[in-house]
Amino acid sequence: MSDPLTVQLDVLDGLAAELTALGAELADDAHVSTACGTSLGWSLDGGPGAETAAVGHEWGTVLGLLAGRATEVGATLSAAVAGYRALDRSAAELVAGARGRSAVAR
Amino acid sequence: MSAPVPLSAVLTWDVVQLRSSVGTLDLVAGRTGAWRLRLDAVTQELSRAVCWSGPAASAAAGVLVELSTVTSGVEQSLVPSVEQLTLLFTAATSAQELAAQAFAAAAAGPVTLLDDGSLSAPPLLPGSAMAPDQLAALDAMADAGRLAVALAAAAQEQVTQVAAHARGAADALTPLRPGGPAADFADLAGPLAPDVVVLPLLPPHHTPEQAARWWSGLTSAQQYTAIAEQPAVVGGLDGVPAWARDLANRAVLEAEVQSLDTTSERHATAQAVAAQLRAQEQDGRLVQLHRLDLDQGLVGIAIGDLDAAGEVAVFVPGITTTAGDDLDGLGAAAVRIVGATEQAAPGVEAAVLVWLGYRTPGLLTAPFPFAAERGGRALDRALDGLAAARPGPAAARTTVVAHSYGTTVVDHAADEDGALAADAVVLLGSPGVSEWTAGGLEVDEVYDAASPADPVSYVSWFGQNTWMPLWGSEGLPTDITQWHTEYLDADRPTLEAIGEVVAGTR
Repeated sequence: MSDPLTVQLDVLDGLAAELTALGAELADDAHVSTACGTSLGWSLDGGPGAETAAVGHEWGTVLGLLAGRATEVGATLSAAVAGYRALDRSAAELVAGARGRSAVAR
Repeated sequence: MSAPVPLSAVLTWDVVQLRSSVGTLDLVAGRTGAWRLRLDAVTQELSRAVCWSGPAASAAAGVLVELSTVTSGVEQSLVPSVEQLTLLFTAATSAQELAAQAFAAAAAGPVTLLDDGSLSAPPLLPGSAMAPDQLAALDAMADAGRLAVALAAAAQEQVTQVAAHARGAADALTPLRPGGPAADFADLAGPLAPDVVVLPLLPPHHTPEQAARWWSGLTSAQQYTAIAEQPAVVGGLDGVPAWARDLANRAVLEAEVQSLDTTSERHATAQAVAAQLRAQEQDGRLVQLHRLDLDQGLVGIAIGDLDAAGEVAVFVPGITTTAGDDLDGLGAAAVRIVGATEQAAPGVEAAVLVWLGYRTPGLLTAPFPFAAERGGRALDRALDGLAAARPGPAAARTTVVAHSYGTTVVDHAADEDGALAADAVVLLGSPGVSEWTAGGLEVDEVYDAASPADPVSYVSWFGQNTWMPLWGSEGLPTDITQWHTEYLDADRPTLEAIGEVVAGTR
């Protein structure tokens, strides 16, 4: 039995957009965390400011990595959708070209 | 060991800014959890075969499961980290207040308090020639000095706590960097999303609430591993979200449909279920396979999303109903209830679960309650499971719509321990229930529809006639010619009323 291959391009495109949006939101929080780290350092100047600043900066780094991954996957899915559409157009042209027939709306 | 913090430096700490930063990080930690749930929703949508299937789809789902699992691991570090920062803020505030009081006490002496918490000079000793007022002043200076030193010591103790909590906040992040700081996502994923996924054990003899807690404590990778490795278990686990049960049950269904043994009853049931799912999905509906026990012929199919719908109905059919023969009619009835609900309250999202979670009796065994006793236990647990999967503010309004012998099943479900986990019950053509009043069904709202042309409504096989005014149900409209099997027909008035009950507008 062959593996079934189905794809709802608009739905997939929507999910790719959602992933991209998720990546952007978490990237914002990564920047916020880094800024909080800097602020923590100032707030405790003369005390453990450097250590708390490092904590905030590490939050920012980690969240930035998660955000980057989400954005990367979103972009990959968008590219996959574009690829599916391009492939379908090429296939349509190939098939129509072989017999010289125009497409029938379905 | 870090250098001691001078007391005068503590006075310059900006605790207002500190509170703001810690509060913001606390919000970020909370948002990360919500972010992961949204990511999981994308993964669940992506995992639906109707959306995308094939090797690329499987690879994409795997990547998102890994991302979610890594995010879970990050959350498990961020939360204790920010808890330490919150404690740090409390200690820093206390240290600053105590330091200020120490310097104030010294100034009142007056004595000079040094940054290390000691006095600049020992207190003066009283002389024999001093006047009483001079002696009193010396005593006051000595008292002020002692108080300042004590307050300074207390402040330094809090400073020590600040340093300890700063270390704690950093230590909480250690699992994120076992081999040094993560430079890229792969570094981060290595320790947090191992290739071998270990599943924590589900407590034996678990309740649906325990199953729900077990499930919500799993990472995304663990959840998908459980679905892949034990689909029959996950698919039948009351308390697990509907999306997961749907995925698991579809895996069981697919395996049976592909089976070479095409003559068995379980295969026929599987074919009927698969045909029903296909038909509903071809009509553009979201369908969830919530229950599938092919050996027992038990099936639950939901029209709509049981995890998200604000209004949920559980339809319990009566005698001689089987998955093999009746899913088309049951599915159509469920679609009509969804339609009636959305008509009653435009804009609501409704889901109707066709619950064939018990082996319905045949004509000869219909007068006996044995099937209803077994079914009642199963229905009670199924309702508890639906409630446990959506606790607190996520809970849906739940209505049990039972027809004929199904009303007897509801009667027995209410006899089980704990209240029936529903808001309303609708009894259609009931052959009687054992409860003396509607209150015995343990829900706030009990409705009944009994047509004059329906003889089953009068048989009282199992107890009280539920349409009797003294019994306490609210009657729903029927036609005088409405037969026993026509309560959910589109051209009868009962359906519209049921929609209002499910929507909560009646």
